[in-house]
Order: sequence, then C-alpha cells, then structure tokens
Amino acid sequence: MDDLEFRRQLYASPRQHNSDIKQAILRDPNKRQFADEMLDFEQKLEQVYQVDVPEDLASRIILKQSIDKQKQSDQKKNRWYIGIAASVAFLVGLTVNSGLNPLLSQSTPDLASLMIEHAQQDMIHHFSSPEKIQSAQVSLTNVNQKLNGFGAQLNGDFATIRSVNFCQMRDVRALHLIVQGETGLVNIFIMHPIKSIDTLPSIQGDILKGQGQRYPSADLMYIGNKTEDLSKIQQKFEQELKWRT
Amino acid sequence: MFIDFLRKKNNAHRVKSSMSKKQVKYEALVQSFHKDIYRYAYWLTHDPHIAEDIVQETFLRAWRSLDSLQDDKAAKSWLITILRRENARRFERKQFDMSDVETDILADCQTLTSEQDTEQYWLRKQINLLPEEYKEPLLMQVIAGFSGDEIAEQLNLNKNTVMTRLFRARNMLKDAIEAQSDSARSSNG
Repeated sequence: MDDLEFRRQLYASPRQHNSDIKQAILRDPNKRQFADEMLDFEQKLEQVYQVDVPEDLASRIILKQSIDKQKQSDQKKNRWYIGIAASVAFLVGLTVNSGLNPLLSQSTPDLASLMIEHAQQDMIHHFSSPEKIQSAQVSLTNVNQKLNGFGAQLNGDFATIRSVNFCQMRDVRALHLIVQGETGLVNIFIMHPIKSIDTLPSIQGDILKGQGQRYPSADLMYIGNKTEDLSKIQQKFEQELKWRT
Repeated sequence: MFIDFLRKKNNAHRVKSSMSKKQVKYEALVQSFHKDIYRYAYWLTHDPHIAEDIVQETFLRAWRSLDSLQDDKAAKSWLITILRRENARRFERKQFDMSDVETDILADCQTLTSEQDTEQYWLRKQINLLPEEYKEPLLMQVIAGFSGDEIAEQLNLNKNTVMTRLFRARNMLKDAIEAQSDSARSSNG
C-alpha cells in the first residue's frame, strides 16, 4: 500500500482499521506516528460533537411514552366496555336497556384521558426543566380570582401552587391547578358538577394515578405520580377550600 | 359469549405481562441511546428545541413499533433511521418557510467560555461549513460509531463514495486548521 492510499484510508476511518492498515502501522514507525496523530485529531473532533444533552431528557421521553400508552389503553378499555355492554344487552334483551345506560356511557374514561392529556401537556410545556418548576409560583390572590367563578375561595396556603389555568375538556370546563406534591407535581381540576356521569373516574396508570371528590357545587379531581400521597394533598386542599353559600 | 369474554380476559393478562417486558425494553433503549440520538438530532437541526422535539417524536414512534425491533444490536441504526425520517418530515412540513440563515450563526447555541472552548467553537463552525453531503457521513461515524458499510446502507450510497466523503470531510477540516495556525504564525511574526 502506498503512502497516499494509507493516509486516505486513515482520514476516512481513523478508529477502525482493516488488516492491511494494521500491518502497515506495525511495520512502519512513521505510519504509526501518523495513525496516532489522526487518533488525536479524532478525539478532538469527538469532543466537539459531544454537545450538552438536557439533563432530564430521558425521563421526559419516558413520561411522554407513558402518557401515550395510557391513552391507548384507555381507548382499548373503552371499546372493551362497549363490547361487553353490547353483548349483555343482546343476551338479556331490550327490557333492561335503560339500566345499561351508565355502562354505555363513554364520558368517564374519556374525561380521565382528557385530564391526563391536559396534565401532561401543561407539565411538559410549562415545566420543561427542574429550574422552571422551582421558579414557577402563583399567588393565592391570583388563584382566588379564578376560583371565584366556582363559588370557592382558598383561605390559606396548602402547598406551593406552580400554575393555574382554565382548560376545556370537551364539554367540561375546569380550573387546572398544578401544585407541588411530595414526590412530584400534582394536578387539581376544579369543575362545575358534571351531570352526565355518575361517578368521577379513578385512574390507575403505570406512572400516574388519580382520584376524585364530589361536592354539591363542584367536582374535584386529583392526578399525580403513582408514588404521591394524593389523599394527603386532597385533605390539605379541601381544608383550606371554603364554599360560598 | 361469556366464555369468549373470559378467554379474552386471560389473554389480556398475558398481554399485560408482555407489556411490562416491553416497557423495560423501551426504558433500556431510552437510557442507552437518548444522548447519542439527541446529539445526532442537534447536529442535523442546529437547534436544541427542534432537536428535542424530533427526539421525543422518534422515541414515541420507536415505542409504537417496538415489536418490529428483533435484533437489539440493530437498535441504534433503527433509531437513527426513524430520526432521519422525522427530520425529513419536518422539511416536508416547512417547505415554504425555511430561511437561508448562515449555519455559523446557528452553531452558537451552546455557550462556551475557556480557551479550549474557543477552539472547540471554531472547529464546530468549520464542521458546519462542510458541504452538506459530507456532514452526515461524518456525523454517523463520529456520533453513532457506524462503519463504512453501515453508513452506506443508511444513506443508500456505495461504500466507496462514503469513504471518499469521509476522507474529504476530515481533509477539509485539517486544511482549515493548518490555514488558521499558519495565519496565526504570520500575524505573530
């Protein structure tokens, strides 16, 4: 192999050498030196290519996937319920049709997945980094202005409130609070009583879970990490929450 | 009908246990490759935000078609194939609002301070000045650690063409470095 070809091949592949190149390096100290120089240059190049990767990227990727998974499984469950309900209706006949209406209703699983979607979107968009989470804080006055429409007031701080926004989930309008829990962020949805459903959904996902509480003048839903003690934050929140009579 | 239902329920349990295996596999994939994939996206797009969006979309697609990944050793090139397709989609979508911004301005997204960093910044600029067709083979070799054959397959090129482009890319970078140190020497003397 001539010198030019040797150099050409090392420029094209400084790290992986074929057997001809390896032998040439072993035979000739000058070629060895050139190979070492190319390797030095390659290391420099590799360093330049190593741009910083956002610190919590992996967990954000997994969060997004788990939301996607949850959505898909909710859709499947939905179909499953409708399928069973249809089969039962077929077996038992038309006489009990009216009794089956709650089973056929789609609003419970739909509402749950819409809430999860909102929780996820807000968390990803507002809090893309731990610093952004730490720095976000909303005042009690601000929250109370928005709570006013629901006939409620918060008397005192129950947790650090990271964000407060109205959101529309199909025909349900909600006030969406994101507050700091013990193991992560907790989403609280405050809604006018939803007449179309009998019970508020209970969510048991791989990463998120959720529970609800009905009051005469409002429905509340809490969604947080699986490891979060939701009842604790629920109790604190509802203790501070006063309804206008 | 109820027997059918019970059978389905059993299947659902089986599906659930294979789902958690799938989840473990997915999370391992994310942990092992997200950095390389992000860096690859960053060099393709020169924008940390767009890079992250594409990486998110890439891994979401990877999740949805994880069953099609049979050979774990092929995972990285599989992810890069998805990533390149995602990036191409971005161009299809934004065909009409692309601007001809100089890439050396775009390269300045990361803040660098010390002298060594200045050198890195300069080299980064030189990489961005390489002809387009040389950039990606180099990216595949340096970041993804692909062989000439793998790059040829990804880019649908002949291996000799790939090796020539890799040679020329490094040759141009080396020339630029020499030209810079020459001019530094002459300005000092």
